[in-house]
Order: sequence, then structure tokens, then C-alpha cells
Amino acid sequence: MEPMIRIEALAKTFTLHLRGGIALRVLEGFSLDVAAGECVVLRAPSGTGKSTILRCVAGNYRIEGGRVLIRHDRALVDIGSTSPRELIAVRRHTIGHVSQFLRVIPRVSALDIVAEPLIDREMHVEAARTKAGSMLARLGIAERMWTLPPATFSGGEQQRINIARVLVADYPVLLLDEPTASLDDANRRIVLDLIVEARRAGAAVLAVLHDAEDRAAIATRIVDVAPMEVAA
Amino acid sequence: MTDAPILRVDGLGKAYGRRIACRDICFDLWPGEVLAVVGESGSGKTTLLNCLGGLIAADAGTVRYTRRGGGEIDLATAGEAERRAILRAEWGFVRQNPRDGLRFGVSAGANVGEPLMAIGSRHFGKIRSTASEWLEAVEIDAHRIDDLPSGFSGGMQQRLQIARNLVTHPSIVLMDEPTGGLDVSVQAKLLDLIRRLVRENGVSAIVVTHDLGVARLLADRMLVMKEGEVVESGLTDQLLDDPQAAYTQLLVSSVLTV
Repeated sequence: MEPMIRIEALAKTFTLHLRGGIALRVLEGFSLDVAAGECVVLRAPSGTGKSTILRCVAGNYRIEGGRVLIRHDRALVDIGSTSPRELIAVRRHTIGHVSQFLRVIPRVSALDIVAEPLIDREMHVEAARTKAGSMLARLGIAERMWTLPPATFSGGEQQRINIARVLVADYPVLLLDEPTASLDDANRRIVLDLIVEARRAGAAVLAVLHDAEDRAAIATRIVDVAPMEVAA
Repeated sequence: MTDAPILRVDGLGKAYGRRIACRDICFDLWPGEVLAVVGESGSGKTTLLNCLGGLIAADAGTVRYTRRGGGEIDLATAGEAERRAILRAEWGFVRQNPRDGLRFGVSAGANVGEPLMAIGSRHFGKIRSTASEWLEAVEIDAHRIDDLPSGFSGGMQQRLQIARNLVTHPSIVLMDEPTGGLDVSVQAKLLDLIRRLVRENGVSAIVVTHDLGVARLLADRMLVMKEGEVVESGLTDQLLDDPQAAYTQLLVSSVLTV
């Protein structure tokens, strides 16, 4: 089966110019394919570059060695070499990325933050808000909070807004970085169920999860990321 | 969005005597896209904007703009009259200081209505009602339509300037530090407004700012300038989360987070 995500010999080094140009090699030679309907969970101790892999796949971090290919519009797009404009289109339609923190926008309500990815794809505003509302309800965000900007929400609530914003849009590729962190048991369950539903609906899911039980709940495959030797 | 840039800037340069303000600036701007130009004071970002906006003449390079009716024109070499006409009808320019962008001798309503008259509107009632709608859109009470801008707060003046610049539905809006000098809460309101209006109207924008938070919030792409040159460019989140150039790393690491 054709992969949705193809990672070939990915390498990433951070060069810290402010600290005398010290080079931190975080990844080297990492390869992985993820097909539609598959959920691959990355397993490794903290600091081994799992989030870096997700960020490279999303095009948030620049790819400096190897390649990342994403199936978008029936073609494979090379994330590292495509134009910024094409990457924006790939993100808008294909890649949903739940990062570890919600980036709140001053004065924009929770409902509008969640509806935004749908509106960006030219869904009618009212239809987008309705869909966003049902996702928020599913994630246990009380309706009286929908009109409030999430800046003052608790960590767990912000995390659920963050997840709602991505899962609402039915992206074919999902990148999930610790989606269950800072959630209570009931909400953790709900989020795990939503991820399994998305996968069964055909999404290719690449996730980072520390909790073994959570991993078992959603993974169709677990991949170990080997720690790198840190060299200056 | 269409598949061609609306603006193609190539090799743009400007020197003041021997001091180089901008050197070899190249970028494309696409319809509906927001581009932030960041860098510290003296990096040449305002000179770049002023060259694009026709306030100063560039020494080198081309600024090829695709007109609304189709057809490309190099604004750097176009005749003065033609350039002025195009900029007035199809561009907006929100200045850092509202005193440069507003007319303080006439009412708020006239400030919004004038650009409409300049592009040919003649029906007074219609102009006034459009001005009133735009005041509401930028969250200024329409009852203040006959007040002079000098009685407005800094944030209101800046919002009035935005209304004055968007009322003609420009293709491109230039903004020079639109939130500079405003209180944080006023800044947030203004940013939200700019973000919403730019999206709803499908305007392309070039925003000069030294505030990376403003760039993060508004821009799809960024140019980082230092000593008159572009040292790094790319998607906003790439530049801010994985800066490559030493100077960009310095800028990003200098931001206070709360």
C-alpha cells in the first residue's frame, strides 16, 4: 500500500550560533513509512528527538538530511524542498499537527479557534461553527466557555481546544505530540477514542505518547527511536 | 487564491549617499498572503516599505505589480502620475504614526470617505453610510463620525487609519509598525482586527514590525532583515521555531515570554 507519510534517512542538527556555533545532532538516518489507516507511535526516552521528527514532518522544522514525503492531492510532496506556498496548502488540507501547547490568539473565542481550519478550507462559517461546537462538546468543553478566548483556560482545557482544532478537520495525516498529556482519565479516554476513530476513518497517524497504556490503546505499530550520542 | 504572485520584487536597493539602506531585496507576494518584514531599528525594513509605497524612489531593482484588471507594471520605473494613480486606487498604506496617515483637519467620517471620492465615488449619502459601516468594522462608535481624529485615543486613531486604508478594498496593504507605541491590550484588539479584516477581504499585506509576536500572529511568511539585507526568509513558524541564521536566532532568543 502507498504510504501517506514517508520518512527517508531523516537527519537533523541544531546549530546554536549564540553558543559559539555548537552543533547538536538530534536525529540521524531515521526512516519510517506510515500508511492510511495506520497509527504508528514513537517510543523513546525524553530528549531523543521524537517531537523533532513530528515537527520535521509538519515542515515546522527544516529538514537538512534525508527526505520527508507526504501524500497530498494524490501526489507525494517533498516537505523539505517544496515552496512555502505549497507547504501552506499541504498543511491546510492534509496535515493536522497537535503540538504540545496551544497557541492562543488574543480575543478569538474557543469556538472560532476550532472552526478556523474549516473556514480556511472555505466551509461556510455557520456550518464550521456547528461542527466545531460538536467537537468541543464531545471533548467535554462546556458550552458557556465556547465564546471565551482560551487564554484563561486551564492546561487541560487548552489541550483539548488544541486537539479539537485538529481533529475537527478530518486531516488525512495526523501528527500528535503527547495528545493526552495534562488530561484527566475521562478526557484521556475520549481523546484516545477520537484518535482511533480518525484512524479507522482512514487517517495515517504518527504519534508520540509516553504512557504505555495510551500507546497500547491506539497504536497499530510501535517504533523505537534510538537515542543519539550528543556530540559538540 | 490564484497561481501567480501579485507582486514580484527583484533586486531592490536604496542607498543614502554611501550608507546602504536596502540591498538586493527579492521576494514574491501572493494574493491573500501576509508577509512580515522583521529586524531591529536601522535594518532597512521601513526603507523597503517606503520604496514599495512610493514614498521614496529606489536606486535599483524592479517592483512588478499585477494590476487588478490584469497586466503587470514595474512600479519602480513607471511614471510618477501613473504610479500615484495605481497606489491610490489599488494599494493602502497604514503608517506607523497616525499623523502621517490621517488628515487631522477633517472628521473621522471624511477620513474614511475621502479615499472613496478619490477613486470616483460621488454619492454623498452612500459615502457616508460606507464610512459609518467601516467605523463599526474597526470598532469605533458610528456616533463619532463627525468628530476630529485629534480627539481619539492612539488606538482609535490607528483603527481609523486602517478603515481609511481598507475602505477602497485594496489589493495590497502596507503596514509600518501598526501596533507600535500602543498599550498591550489595545495592541491585541488591533491585531485581532487586522487579522480578521485581512482574511475577510482577501487582501495581501506587507507588515513591517520589530515585534515577533505580531509576525507570528499575522504573517504567513517572513523576511528577516539586518543591515539592509534579507538574512533569512521562510514560513513564519519555521523561522520562529527553527531559526537558522545567527541573527534570527538572536532575535528569537531575545523575546520575553509571559
